[in-house]
Amino acid sequence: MSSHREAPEISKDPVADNTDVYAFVSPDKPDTVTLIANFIPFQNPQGGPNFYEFGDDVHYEIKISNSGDAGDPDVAYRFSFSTVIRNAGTFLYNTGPITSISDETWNRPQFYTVSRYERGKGWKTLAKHLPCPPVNVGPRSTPNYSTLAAQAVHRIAGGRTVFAGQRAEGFHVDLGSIFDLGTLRPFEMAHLIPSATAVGVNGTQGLNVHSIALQVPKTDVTARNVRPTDVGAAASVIGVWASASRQKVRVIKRGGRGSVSSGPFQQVSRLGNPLFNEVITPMAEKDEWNAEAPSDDSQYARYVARPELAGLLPVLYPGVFPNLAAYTKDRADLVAILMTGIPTGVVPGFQNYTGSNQADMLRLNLAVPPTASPNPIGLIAGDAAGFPNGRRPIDDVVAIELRAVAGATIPLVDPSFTPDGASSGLTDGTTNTNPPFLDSFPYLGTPAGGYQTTPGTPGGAT
Amino acid sequence: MADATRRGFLAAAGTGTAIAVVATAGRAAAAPRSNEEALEALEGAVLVAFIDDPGSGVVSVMVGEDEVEIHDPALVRRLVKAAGGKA
Repeated sequence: MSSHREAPEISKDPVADNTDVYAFVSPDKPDTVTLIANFIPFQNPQGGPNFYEFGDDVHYEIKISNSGDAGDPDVAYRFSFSTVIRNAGTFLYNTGPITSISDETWNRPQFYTVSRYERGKGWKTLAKHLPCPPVNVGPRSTPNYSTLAAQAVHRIAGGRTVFAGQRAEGFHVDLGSIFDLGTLRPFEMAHLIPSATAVGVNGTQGLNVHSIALQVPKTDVTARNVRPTDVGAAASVIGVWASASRQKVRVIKRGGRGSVSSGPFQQVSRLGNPLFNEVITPMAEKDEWNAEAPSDDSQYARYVARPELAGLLPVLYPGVFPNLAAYTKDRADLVAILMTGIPTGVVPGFQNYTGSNQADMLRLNLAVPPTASPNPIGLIAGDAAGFPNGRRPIDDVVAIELRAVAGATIPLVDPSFTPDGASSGLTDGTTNTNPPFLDSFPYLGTPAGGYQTTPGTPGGAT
Repeated sequence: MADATRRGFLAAAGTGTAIAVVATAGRAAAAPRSNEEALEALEGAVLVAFIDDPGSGVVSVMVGEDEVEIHDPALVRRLVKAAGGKA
């Protein structure tokens, strides 16, 4: 998964589990940038009566580094939540149809405060008591859900727009296959344990997530608030990551009297580039990685330079990746893409370099305009508005990263290398089979409804 | 623990001991508060004392969103003894 349940500890704390981060120039408002962080993976839409919600005891943050000091936040946005029970005498999530997000029939509304941090100025509250939408329960409880959820798009001070609530999962991946010894169904005839080629199965189909989303003027996130117009300028590039933090101590009171949290907030989850902690960091270091700041990521650079997956591909697919198997140099291409950004001169007319400090961040060159017809393969397919220049919902990050790890991007830094033929077409065979992305903020699709969603088909129970 | 007792605990611990208020909420946080400011914020708060390494003589007291580190080997020994350990 991009970063769903990617580390042992956070897999036991889904409310704080950061699953995906997106950062892109808004296609319909190109003077703005959209930043989205998803949490709470694998939401079965039918998961009532206590449906999914953000944690009131979690600080959710999206952070931006813009000063060349990669991995240290210069700007940050914090979402903190509070939940109310309106009718203490019922077990119901809603006591009638919810036709407006202010309806009293929603028995457990959730609200949030948005704050902004700027280096040297500290934290400032931007807006308070903003309502989330309810989850998509079904046609009787939450009729006309897309219209209902649209009421939770809030325009706040400074030309900013925010949303926090349930969305359709936009990340697609063949989970069942990939975690069965690295199988890619379209290529499984060539697997060490072969079987007939098959189409990919989207493991996130029918599932929802919870998103915090911001759309802000580009000048809200750039150094010295400059308007980015020059692709070649360092000031046009920002680094983005998200995190979730909990207070150090939680004490459960005797006799069901609830719990109390105390002490400073400690980061328990973070995410920049998709799949970094998932498939690059060794399992024994994943929890520590989640607690670290990106500015300290140089300690993980050796895993990027010698990725385990690049060693596994030639073993799992014998004879398919001979050139990759013979490549013994450090993977400077991956270090650049994931940890420093791509410097000028590597990809003609493009750069998203943030300096020599190695940090896992999504790097977005804000001067690159949105593409009218986005290519899901992004930059390596010639679409400079896509991953790894930031990340759009449409970007097929599994295919892009599979191809990069398999050697497709080595020639960017080492022209003597010839990628194996298979590397340019690697894919898990999935596409987005969830509700479609929206044309406007918050872009991620309308979440699947509990009543309307059919459970999956059990298999392999023999 | 009553609030007055909590105040007394920190105040007593602060006599002749080293106290540090640990920075809160990571690098993107406001400046660390002084010990006096942290004590001011105690009213109605819950305190949790945490000893990670009894040999260090340090008690970490969680209060609100702060962590106050108290270097007081005698206090640590008393707490360890009260918890049934060897002081």
